Amino acid sequence: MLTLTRTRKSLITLTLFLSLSVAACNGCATAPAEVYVSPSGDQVNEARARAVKIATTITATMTITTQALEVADDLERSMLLKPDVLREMAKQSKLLAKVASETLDVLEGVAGGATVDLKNTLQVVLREFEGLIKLFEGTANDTLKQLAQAARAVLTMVTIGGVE
Amino acid sequence: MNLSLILKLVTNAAAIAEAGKRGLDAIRSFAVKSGASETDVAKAIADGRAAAAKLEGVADGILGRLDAEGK
Repeated sequence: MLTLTRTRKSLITLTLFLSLSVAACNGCATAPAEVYVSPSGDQVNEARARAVKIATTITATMTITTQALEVADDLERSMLLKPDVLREMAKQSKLLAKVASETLDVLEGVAGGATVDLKNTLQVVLREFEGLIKLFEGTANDTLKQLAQAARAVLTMVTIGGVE
Repeated sequence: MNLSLILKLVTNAAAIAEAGKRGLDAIRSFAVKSGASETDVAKAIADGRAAAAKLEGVADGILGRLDAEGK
């Protein structure tokens, strides 16, 4: 839970940092005062393309987690997984979904032309996803461990594809 | 473990792999230099929100069931 709290704090810090960065950049751009230099068309296009990649990555991680959580649910119903473990997985999944939604809020600003540090934005979600995978890996159930391995392989590929 | 559960697990494992593949294909289809429109971003964000909402719904369902069963 400490890790999760840190992740939440990181997100807030990141948001504040981004806000300040944007404000600072605007400050540079507006010196001398009254002159606003907007991002070029290419910059906006590039930021949008990155936003699409990140949003798509988030969709993939959400879908994978949903599938894995449904498997864990089935296992618990068959008494192959302890209820408290499933409960923890469900709680962490909810947190992951919340962080993802907050990240998508940040991305929405990009559609309007705002420039943000998208790489760090994505990494916040991926760190949360990583935490959930570790939870699955930590179970004594072989099926969930195998699913975690599959999810980790996807995470590795998505990280490479999404962040670069 | 019964047969139906095994089949379901295999199906879910396949779905996870498929979801990952779809995600990667989508990511690769958007080379950064090619750019994207506002509509592209809006659609990708809407898809992400829908997926996040589904995950939250499944998690809520599980927590609700565990509570109801006193587990």
